[in-house]
Amino acid sequence: MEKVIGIDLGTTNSCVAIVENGSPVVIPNRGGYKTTPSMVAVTEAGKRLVGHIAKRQAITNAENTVYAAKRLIGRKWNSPQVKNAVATSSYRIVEGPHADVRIVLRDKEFSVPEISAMVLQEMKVIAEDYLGEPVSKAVVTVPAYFNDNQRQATKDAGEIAGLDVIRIINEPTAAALSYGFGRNVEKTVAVYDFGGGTFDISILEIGAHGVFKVVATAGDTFLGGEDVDARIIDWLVSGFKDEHTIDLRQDRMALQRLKDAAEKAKCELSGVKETEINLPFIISSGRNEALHLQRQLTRQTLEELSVDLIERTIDICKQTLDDAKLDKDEIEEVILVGGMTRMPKIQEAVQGFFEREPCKGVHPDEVVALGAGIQGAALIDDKQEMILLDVTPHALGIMTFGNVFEELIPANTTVPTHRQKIFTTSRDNQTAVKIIVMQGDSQKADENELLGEFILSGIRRAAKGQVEIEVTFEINADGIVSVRAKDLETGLEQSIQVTATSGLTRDEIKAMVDNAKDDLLDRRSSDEIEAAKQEAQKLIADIEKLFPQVQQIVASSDFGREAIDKAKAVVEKAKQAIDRKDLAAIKEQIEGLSRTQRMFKGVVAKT
Amino acid sequence: MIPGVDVRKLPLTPTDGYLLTRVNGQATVGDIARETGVWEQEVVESFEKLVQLNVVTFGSVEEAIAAMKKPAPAPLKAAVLSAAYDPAMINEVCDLDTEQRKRVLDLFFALEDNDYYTLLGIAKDADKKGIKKAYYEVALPMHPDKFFRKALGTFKPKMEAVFAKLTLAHDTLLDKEKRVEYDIYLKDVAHTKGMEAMLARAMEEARAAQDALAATVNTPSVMPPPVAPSAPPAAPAPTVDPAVLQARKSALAARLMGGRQRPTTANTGFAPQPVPEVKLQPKVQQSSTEAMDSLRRRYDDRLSSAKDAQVAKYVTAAEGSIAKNDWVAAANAYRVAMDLAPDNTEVHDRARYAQTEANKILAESYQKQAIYDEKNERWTEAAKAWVRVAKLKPEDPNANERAAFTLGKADGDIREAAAYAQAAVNLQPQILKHRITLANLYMAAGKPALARRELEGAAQIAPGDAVVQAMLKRIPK
Repeated sequence: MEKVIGIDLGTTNSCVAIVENGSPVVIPNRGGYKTTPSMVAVTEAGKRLVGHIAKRQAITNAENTVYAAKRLIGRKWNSPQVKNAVATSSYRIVEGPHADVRIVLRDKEFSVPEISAMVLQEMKVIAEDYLGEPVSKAVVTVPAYFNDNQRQATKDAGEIAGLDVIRIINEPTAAALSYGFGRNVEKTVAVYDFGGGTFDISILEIGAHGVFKVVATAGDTFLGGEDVDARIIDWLVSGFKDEHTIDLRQDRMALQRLKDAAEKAKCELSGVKETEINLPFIISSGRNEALHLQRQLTRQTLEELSVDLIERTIDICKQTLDDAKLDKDEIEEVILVGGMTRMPKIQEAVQGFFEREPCKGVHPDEVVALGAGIQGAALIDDKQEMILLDVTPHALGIMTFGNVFEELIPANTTVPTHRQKIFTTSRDNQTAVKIIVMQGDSQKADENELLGEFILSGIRRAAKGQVEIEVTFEINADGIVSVRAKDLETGLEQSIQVTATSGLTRDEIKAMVDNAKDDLLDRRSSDEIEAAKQEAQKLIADIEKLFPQVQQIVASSDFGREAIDKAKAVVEKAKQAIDRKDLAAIKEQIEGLSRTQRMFKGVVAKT
Repeated sequence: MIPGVDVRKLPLTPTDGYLLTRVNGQATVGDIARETGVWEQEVVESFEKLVQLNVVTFGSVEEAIAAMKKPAPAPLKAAVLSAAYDPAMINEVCDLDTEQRKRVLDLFFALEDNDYYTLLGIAKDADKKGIKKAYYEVALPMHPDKFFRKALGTFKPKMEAVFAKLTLAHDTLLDKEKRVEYDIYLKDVAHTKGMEAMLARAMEEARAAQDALAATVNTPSVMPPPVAPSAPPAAPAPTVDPAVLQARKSALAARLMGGRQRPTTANTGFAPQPVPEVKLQPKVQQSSTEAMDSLRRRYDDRLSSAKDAQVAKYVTAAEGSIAKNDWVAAANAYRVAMDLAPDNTEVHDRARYAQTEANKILAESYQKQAIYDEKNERWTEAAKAWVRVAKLKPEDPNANERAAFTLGKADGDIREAAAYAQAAVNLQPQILKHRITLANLYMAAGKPALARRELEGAAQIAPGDAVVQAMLKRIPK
């Protein structure tokens, strides 16, 4: 049977594993290390370096050494995360032709998947050396909170590396697989995964017959060990500036050395209470004299520097428990994953929140790759009794009239799944609708990630709200999203499969939204909305009729003017709610409207 | 009822208690339902509880419950096995073995007609643990990953559909709020099903009542008891067991025919019988003609008084139901009464009125169900419900159109669907939507000429309509 490798493609380190004779093992690289730095460099001679060898030359070749490419994968040039990376990275990040991100190494531009592909290829070679046979299939892990664009870009990277990525799975899920594999436990577990670049929390039920069912998952794709490093660098840089009035950030090599030192100090402080950061000859002063950086960093200072980051992870944990509709005491095990969980303060915070000592039985750096290997074996090998039921981490839906994100598949829905909803046209005589497929958790459409778009035309000319369009979302077991729109009258149909990044920037989306305003779909009025709307409209009509009279009566008093302004605001809000067909908002405004109407009637009656 | 049970100590609802007061050892579930105005389905549920609590034992009622329960969804295996599909489908070549293929088809074709509890094979009061366990057992073998990159043919989408539905069932039942909402929906469905069962049985009951009457009056007509002229009119006799009746009839026939057996069918009808050889001595000797006349008079008297009593019983039941605002039960009772008294115009009028009211309620109830089903993409169920609405409200164009549309969606009978669409068009010839639905159905039925005609009609109403034009273009000449 063909072997499937499991690859944990990490922000800072990557790891490869395989199931051999029924048990999962991590494959060490040629240097004997179980993890390999996710670093890629190009030497002056044009040679490509990956892993430890790239890391070793990073300081002398900072401009041509890429680290943490995972933070850029599947992202748009204009995103704040990329802007942040451009400002803090020692390598050059430029805008690509499709508003995507490119990295410049020795005057050659590489796309981010190409960079990640080099790391994946290295992992593939490590496995092939170990197995003594070619490997072509892999399960690759991504942060649970990655969106579809990021997942797709990771899959593309696999393809570039010559790998058939048979499945992308979530890192915390993989960790849980590794934890529960072969243990025959029935438990509800929380996986707290704080890695180099991302933070994830997943809650799973491990059941009989090797069932792993994800209940809820959440996270932050821009919160990780790198951010802690950045805090240390900031501390060092500002200290140096105070002393020498020199900004070390201006020097790429100095920045790379600072980065190195910060990471090292951070790791050391997990074991000791205090460490020295010593970087001789870090930069030359204006008068050409060499300056050195030497400072003591205590564990307490580090904890103070990163306290808000840790708090953010705990907030996300709280949110996820709510989403899962579980109480803390229903979590029977807490699994720590990712290098950052070695930090005593983090262990303390997690233990404090879950009121339970975290499980010590898994290796935080290897557990994800092992889980990926297990899933690979389970998919290929019929005899493996294991099944993973994962969820979609973000809601999927379409943009409707008024910049409203209309959810079709809610977050934390078990896949495979399919859902449909019926919409109507948003303006009179509309002959085409634009289906803008989005992913995200904001009710405002333009704050979500755009996955794709298509147009359904040939719609009957009719008053708005008359034509019904059925939109169907489907996610298959491989996680591929397809969207179909169907004119229920004519049976005309259009569909897309979300496969590639659209390469649109936030501004472009905004522009597109403005242009497409007329072509969007609208929520279908339900009877309930219709009833509320009529009630509100009646009240508005009443109030508006009374306006001149009331205005005349109360014109002289300050109180009266205020009341009139308030009434106007209420009416305006109600009208907006009606336009949005937002039932909850209409109902809310009805209260205000009836109060205003009563007041107006009272005023008129008194005189 | 079992003596010595302190009912007050039992966890009974007011309904249970009310029903319990009607238990008299003779009434059937149907009787009690009619008398109390409680739905048969609920009566059955309540009695099941009472039996469990050891408050009552049932003879005939127990059997009645068993009989009623038969059509209700049986436990998982039976329900799934009863799913109807073309058995040839199992022969599709793929990497699944025969048993797996059968399992997929069994489940897939059972999806529409079974509730979540039945699909998962669990009791209505199953707890979280039970739901999860059942879900793992039933749904996991259907997960596509179990057959990763296997050739599954048309089984793959079926398995995905089964898995998605079972997951929806699991998620719905595990969420407290959603489960409550779903249970209410199921109760509504049971309600309408109860109404349906009543309707279906009304005719049967009417027939049975007729037969019982005939039997009551017929039997004594050949074996009249000694009757004094002043004898009080016979009270409606209790229903005679048909087997006993049959035995009596045969015995009599044997005697009349001098020991020769004859088909018993000769005994039916009201034709004057040969003067029986009466064993009991009448007090007054009469001529044979007089005897005949007397017999016949008595027969008629008994028949009409028995009938009157029966009619009165059903009318009272109907009125009781009306008092409880239960028009469906009332309509049923009236219908039986009407059958018993075909000449009673008053009963007719009342029956008609009750029926109209009942239809309104039924239509409303079905419409509610249809909308819920439609919202949840259960096209087969939605179609069934809309068809009911359309039948109850034939003058409602929207109901007809929806029935047609959902039938089309559910891959139902296209001819039937087209008939509904046609009805909608006839009712509202100016509404484009109806015509488009009809045209679509004609297309689906492979009748482009008819579709074209319909669309051309539509084009005359709205000459510039893009959809109509687009559809017209797509029809091959």
